[in-house]
Amino acid sequence: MAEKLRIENLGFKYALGGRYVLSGAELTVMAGEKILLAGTSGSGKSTLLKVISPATAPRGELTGRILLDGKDTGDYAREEIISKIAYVAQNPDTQTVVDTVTGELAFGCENLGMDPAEVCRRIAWICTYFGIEELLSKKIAELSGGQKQTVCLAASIMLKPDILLLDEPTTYLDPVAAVRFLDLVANINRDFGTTVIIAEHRVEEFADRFDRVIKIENGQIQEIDAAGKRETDIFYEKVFEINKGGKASSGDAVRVKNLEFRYDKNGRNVLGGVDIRIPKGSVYALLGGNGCGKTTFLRCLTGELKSQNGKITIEGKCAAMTQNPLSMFIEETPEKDLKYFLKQLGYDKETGGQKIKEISEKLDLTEEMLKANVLDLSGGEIERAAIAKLVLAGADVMLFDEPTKGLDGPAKANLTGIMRSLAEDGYTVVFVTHDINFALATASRAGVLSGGRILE
Amino acid sequence: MHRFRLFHPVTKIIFFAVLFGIAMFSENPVIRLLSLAGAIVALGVSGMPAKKLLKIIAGGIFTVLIMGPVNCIISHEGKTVLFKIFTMKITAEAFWFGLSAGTMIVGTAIWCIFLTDETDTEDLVFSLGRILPGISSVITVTLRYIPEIIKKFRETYTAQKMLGVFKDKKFFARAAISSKIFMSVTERSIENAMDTAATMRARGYGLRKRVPSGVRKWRNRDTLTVILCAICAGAFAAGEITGSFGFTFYPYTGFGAIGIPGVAMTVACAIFFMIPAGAEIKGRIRWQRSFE
Repeated sequence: MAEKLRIENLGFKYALGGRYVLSGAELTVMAGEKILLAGTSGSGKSTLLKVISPATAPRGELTGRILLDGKDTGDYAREEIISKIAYVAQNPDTQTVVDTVTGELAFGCENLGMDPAEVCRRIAWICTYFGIEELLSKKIAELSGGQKQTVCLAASIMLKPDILLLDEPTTYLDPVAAVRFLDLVANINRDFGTTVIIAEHRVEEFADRFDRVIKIENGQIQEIDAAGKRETDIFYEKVFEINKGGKASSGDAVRVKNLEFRYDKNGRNVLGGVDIRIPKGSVYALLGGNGCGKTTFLRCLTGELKSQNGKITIEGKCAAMTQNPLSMFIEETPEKDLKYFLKQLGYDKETGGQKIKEISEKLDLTEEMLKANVLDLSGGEIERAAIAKLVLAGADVMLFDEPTKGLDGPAKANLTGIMRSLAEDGYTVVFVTHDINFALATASRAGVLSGGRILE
Repeated sequence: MHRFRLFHPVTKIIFFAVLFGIAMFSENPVIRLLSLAGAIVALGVSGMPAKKLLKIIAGGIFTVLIMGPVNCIISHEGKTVLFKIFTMKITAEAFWFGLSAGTMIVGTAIWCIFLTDETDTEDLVFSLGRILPGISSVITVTLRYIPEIIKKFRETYTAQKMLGVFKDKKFFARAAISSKIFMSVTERSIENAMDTAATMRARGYGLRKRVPSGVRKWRNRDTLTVILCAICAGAFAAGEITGSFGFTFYPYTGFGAIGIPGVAMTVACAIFFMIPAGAEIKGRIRWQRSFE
């Protein structure tokens, strides 16, 4: 294999940043290699991927050299570099540009002034290859997260790049969609010889799919051996075993009897007679496949959806954190938001301030985090702030929809600790998740939603 | 079957431009009735569910019928006084004028429903993309953002509702919180737009003149439709200019002299308003024949 990309003594500092995110980074990538890029949040994974191509490089101070096919990337014409290096970012919602799938696929080619007939031929080829023919007539807004990310990947391949850079592309996908997405990437690598570098925080889970695993630490790149460390054992038996143990409870926080729900009058029952009792002070995990009705169940518990049949009894107040914790904040910073929230609940300034102080100490929300823009917080930090809001809302039963989405290992471990601690304080925590390992580590009780019923 | 969707975007633009021009600017009640009939038939044969169509027709009839009395109250022109309310004259001419205006409003509204059913943003982007590629990009990006902002607003509103922010709040307090949510969602969308802009640049946006890629072929049906549009527009203009199919509401309602250009205009308009329905019916016949 020929050398495709060489990074020599690379350093990078953001225009507004004080420290070097990358410092003395060295990497050689051979043509057709498939590399997994690991590293903790804020370690510089995204920065490295972005600076590889001048088309995506953020403003800042770059030192060292990046050579593509032996030539400095800065010496390539912009059109050429765009055609050679494709980049797929984390959030499909911010990287889809136009309103239709066809328009999205054609966008890059149109910008380069490609012949319309050739663009159409490429769209036909891409659709056949990705199996997304049925999406062509759709609007981007109608697509699921997995479909959007697939369209982003397909759009990046339209220019037939030599190198494909992907920045945590599975963050917003459920595990099934994530695996499907990574299979597509593997196919592209195999069929077209495209060199792939993908930043991913689920290293152990996906390591065996890649030729090499590299890690960024202290701004430098080092090779690591992550093979054979896969922890996942996707056996639902383990989930049911959770229910065998557990302490005696002082009563039920949630009682659901014969709950039925369907979205359409003549449609199928998404929930077809759910019976469940969740003890007070427990952490309850609800698992199940895609589209089985987990989120629907949570929305029924919150009262957002009215069931067609059955009874839900919740002891005390119930509040929920949606899949996007950011939607719980309407002010610029968590501190401002919590103050505004408590004001709306009728607390005076002094009591509100005291409450914020107490909950911040409990959830380890630092002054820096409280004063930061919510968009600048990491996934774990924003979740902690959201949990603070649930506690301040006076919720006795806290519901979480896919709380591990986008979290790395340490953040998940932290969340496990928080949920358990809340349960010890008498709160009841209910979360729905695809993440079996997280459920096993966190829950004191668990159920699997299948065929419209919860099995325990 | 939505056969009209398959027409070339330029053909659709010409058709609807001529259609709205005639439907809105002709004061002739026959033309207005023909327009209304054409709109209903077009919607009916294009596969709109019968229940929905009947609702639209019922709403249309109500609007037309209400416009008569409403115009009587607003306008007191005309010589045929039906009765008086205090000193206010209620005239037959004002009533007929109201019905005619109602027919025009309902006809135009139903054509608008048909227009939104049969055209999409790609038609607009395709047409504009050739002339003003920059504007076309702005439109398509905006069309991507509007549903995104609505989705985010709903998501945030629901999250706040579930936290109890709206509990026991009166209308104005709820409205204030809702507007705060909207502001927050808009601000974040603008921040996200920075990422989108970076993605656009990374995909070559702004490098050189964009070449829109949509390929739409000009077919015989497009040529035929454009010719019909031209004939109809010409006949309409001739009829209007010569006044040979005159119709007056005031002081008395009635037809003037009907000349050949007037008859030609009416026939041309009748054919013109039936173009979408004709295309649909032709498609259905072909579909049936394909099984024979």
